[in-house]
Amino acid sequence: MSSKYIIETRNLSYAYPGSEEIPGQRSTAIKSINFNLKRGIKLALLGANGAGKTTLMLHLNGILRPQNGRLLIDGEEADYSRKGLAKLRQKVGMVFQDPDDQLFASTVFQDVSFGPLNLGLTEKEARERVEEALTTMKISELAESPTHRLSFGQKKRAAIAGVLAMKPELIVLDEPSAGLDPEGTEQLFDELDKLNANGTTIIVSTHEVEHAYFRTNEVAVMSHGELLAQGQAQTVMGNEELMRTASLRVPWVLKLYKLVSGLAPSDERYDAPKTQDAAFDFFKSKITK
Amino acid sequence: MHDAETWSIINRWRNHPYELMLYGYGGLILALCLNPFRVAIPMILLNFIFCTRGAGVPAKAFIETMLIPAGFLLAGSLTFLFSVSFEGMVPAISFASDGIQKASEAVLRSGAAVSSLVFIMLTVSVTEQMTVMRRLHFPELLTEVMGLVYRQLNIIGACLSSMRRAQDCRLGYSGLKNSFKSSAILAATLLIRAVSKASRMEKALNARAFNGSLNVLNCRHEFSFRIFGAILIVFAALCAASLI
Ligand SMILES: Nc1ncnc2c1ncn2[C@@H]1O[C@H](COP(=O)(O)OP(=O)(O)O)[C@@H](O)[C@H]1O
Ligand SMILES: [Mg+2]
Repeated sequence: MSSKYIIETRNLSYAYPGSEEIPGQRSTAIKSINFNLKRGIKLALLGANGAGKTTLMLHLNGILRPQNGRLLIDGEEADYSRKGLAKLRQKVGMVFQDPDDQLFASTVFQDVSFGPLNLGLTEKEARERVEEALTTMKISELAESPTHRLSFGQKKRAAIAGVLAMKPELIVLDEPSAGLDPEGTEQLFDELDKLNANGTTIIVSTHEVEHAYFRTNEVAVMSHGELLAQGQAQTVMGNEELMRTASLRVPWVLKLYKLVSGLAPSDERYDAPKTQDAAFDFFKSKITK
Repeated sequence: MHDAETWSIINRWRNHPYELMLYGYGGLILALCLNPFRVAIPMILLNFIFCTRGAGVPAKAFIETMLIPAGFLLAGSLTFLFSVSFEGMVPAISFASDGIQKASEAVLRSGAAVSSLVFIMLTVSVTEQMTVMRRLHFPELLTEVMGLVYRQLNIIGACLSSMRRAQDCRLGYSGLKNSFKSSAILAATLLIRAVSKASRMEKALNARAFNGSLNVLNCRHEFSFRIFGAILIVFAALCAASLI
């Protein structure tokens, strides 16, 4: 725990084998990524489709190995030996975009127990972990349901529970809101807030700028395999040129703030409201004036 | 296939995989060894009754699962009815004299055997079967390969049905010519799709520290000596019916 960063990448690059021969595909999926993740924060990894979000995330718990560059965990070089990988995967949990890729067992209970058993826990400990994870994701009543009979939102929750049960320090979620209805998305972010409040570091990838803006503390923007910027949501997402380069939209709240205050993100008086309530109060006070 | 899997997970007897597997696989062996004319019909009926009345699986699921292999079975046994002789200039096809006897023996014997397998399919999920095999110290490799093959079949099945539906929506199966073309494309693409899906699943397993064995926690198993005794009595009765 010596380092303030739980994960750092240094000049990380990766190319999927054979991509240079496919017309229309760029040869490297991610290029020279220097990315730092502070312990305890909630970060949104923003980028259009194909920007390289998934590829970067797959590096963070050792599913992909960097072809160039390095991955540091708690300030130390990632260890890709069998033992090292097992440790890395306990520390960093990954929730895949498509829950059907992740759920393999017959019932939800069985599936969620897979990770804890792989950590070498006893049956009793594993059972407790499973029950706790199911309660956190509010799907205890689905424990004995066949996984192939769940709705998409339920599958997503089951997949997240399967990772929570391993008690990772960092949870990486690839497009957690993709395919969820608005209410499901809000609820999911509420659960993530609770986990984050209990000390779990969280990364979500998304191209939904409003969610990224209101529900995380920090954002990183990727485009065409490169990391364009990382920092406070207000400054990064308020930068219209940067967002346009990344084929992303500036959140409504920042557009309105600029209109009302006349300030650019570079201005030191720039202080766009960060929560939905704050935004509501801010604009209400402007209108009533 | 999908429905069979659902019932194997949620049926009333799901806590008794040991007894169910003993009954199913024991029945399979008896069906193959005993005189089919005496035991086949009672066995099929017993399997049906235990499955529906006992485990609470709907009769429709049992019958539908039986129908798939039954089609192959009937088609296969038809060949017993004819014999081909090559004595003349032209090969001659005639009714085989013992054809009916042989065909009905084959149909009954395999029908009983298949009904035992269907019984297991509908009452014990594959994950439970793997756990039981592990507890009984079957070779680990065998158990894992069985689990992987089953997963792979599921993946291929899911790819197949979603791709077929997508083709169908774009009129891929309107008319004979389109159907042949679509089927050919489907066959060519299926393997590639299934492999890429399987590799994504492998990544997801690795992310949860997969160590080469698909260990999961099952619902609590119960072992009932009453059921165990009942199974032995049924088996003894079947043996007696066949031998006496
Ligand atoms: N399995 C793969 N094989 C080959 N190329 C891939 C694979 N997955 C992604 N890519 C390529 O890598 C690039 C980045 O993709 P990805 O990381 O999935 O982006 P994102 O998650 O931001 O949508 C894309 O150009 C994509 O075509
Ligand atoms: Mg992606």
